[in-house]
Amino acid sequence: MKRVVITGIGVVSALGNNTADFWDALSHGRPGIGPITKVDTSSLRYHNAAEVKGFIPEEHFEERLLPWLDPFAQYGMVAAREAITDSGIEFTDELKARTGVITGSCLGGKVTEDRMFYKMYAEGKHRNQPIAIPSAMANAVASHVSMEFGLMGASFTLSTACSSANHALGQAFWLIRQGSMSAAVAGGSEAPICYGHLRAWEAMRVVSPDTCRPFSKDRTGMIIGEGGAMFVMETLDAAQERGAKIYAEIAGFGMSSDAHHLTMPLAAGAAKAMAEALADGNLRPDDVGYINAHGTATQANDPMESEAIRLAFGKHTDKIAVSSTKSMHGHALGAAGAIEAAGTILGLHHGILPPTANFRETDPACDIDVIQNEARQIQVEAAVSNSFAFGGLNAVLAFRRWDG
Amino acid sequence: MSDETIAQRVIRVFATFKKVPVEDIRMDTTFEELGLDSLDGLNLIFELEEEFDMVVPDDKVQSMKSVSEVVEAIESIMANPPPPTSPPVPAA
Repeated sequence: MKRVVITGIGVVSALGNNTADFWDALSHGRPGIGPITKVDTSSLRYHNAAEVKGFIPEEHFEERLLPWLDPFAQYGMVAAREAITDSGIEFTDELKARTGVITGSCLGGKVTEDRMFYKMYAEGKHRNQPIAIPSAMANAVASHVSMEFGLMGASFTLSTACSSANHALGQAFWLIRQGSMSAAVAGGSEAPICYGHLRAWEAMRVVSPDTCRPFSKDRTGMIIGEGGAMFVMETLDAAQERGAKIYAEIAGFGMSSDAHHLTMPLAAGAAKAMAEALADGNLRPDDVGYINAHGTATQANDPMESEAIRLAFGKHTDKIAVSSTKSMHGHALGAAGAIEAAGTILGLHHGILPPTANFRETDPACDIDVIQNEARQIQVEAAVSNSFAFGGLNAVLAFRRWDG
Repeated sequence: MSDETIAQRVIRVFATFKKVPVEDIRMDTTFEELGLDSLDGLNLIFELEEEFDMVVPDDKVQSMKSVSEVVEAIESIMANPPPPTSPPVPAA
């Protein structure tokens, strides 16, 4: 089996619209959470989110193309372009034929749909521009990136709620490892900030009225985030042959299903996905020094995830540093795993473990070593990034540092 | 309908939600006795919001574990109703 490495990273998030700004904020524990500006929230019970800021679509896309691009597609495409440029990869005809684009999205073009439905139901205007269907399709990023770069390998999109991006990255990794593809552009993107969808989250009663404090005893719920992160993945052999900069190796991928409940997560299911990722990557628990947690800051997730980490890592748990970077970039749903993979990979690359921001009080129900508010300068050998979806679908990625 | 007390309306909503006769719901009946998990509870509170045309704040939800606690919470919200709101026009 081939070894697979990450050679390019692109990020659009509440922490900045490129990887450098993202990492600067993340490694300094600087949250991008603030009042929602894209929607009038006066009638909502929460008013804060982690919005992408200063993103001017016209700077990135031709006027002709823009009406066809929901914000989630714009974030994914800008992140993909950055990842491809960053990797320095040259797509020859031969490589194009064996490169796919694999993306995750929970919602697809929800902003486009929200506008369309408002026009129809509230304003009684039933004529629509022809853009709605192709703008709202969840595979828009996969399609647009494949067209822009002429990538003709296997391209598709996975939608597993908050695990979407991890499932996508895992599939891309396995397809390259088993030799079905030579390279992939993979990740996830999401744009959940529209009135109808914010209202739907309100009804779940899991969104914090102030900010996201994962694993902190006084946590009050999640904060919705948006953006996207994309990666260039290729075989170690190809990367070394072309002298590429290597950020990290994708070592393993694990999936599991709780088979339990639509919204109450189960520690055994989450632990199983972590154990599967370790086994898939030939990693021992004591190889792992950092976990980028799912860490939503809901009452249900954080104690469950703490217990799951103990189940999967046993005695070694006390030696693992854990953080939830959702405290800074929010919960970007189908993009969460990709944005968090970027934080995890950059953490391994720079020897800096990003913190859990907004942390105030240790919770005995979350008995793990939480990196509180300030990054730790530690070079760990391997790291794990967790995503657990509503519906009990879990996807965990394991990365190994690249010493080169 | 207007002759119904708040408690009777709450019991009716519970009975409809659980598809049982109203006689099966008492004031001291708890969510747990009815086999309602957290997600069922959220749905039931939504039905109560529809019945009383009100918003139940998140902090009130935590204290609603039985029929009598629901009645108390609804009475207290009716005594101090939050200002009415309407959906905003989405930004262009």
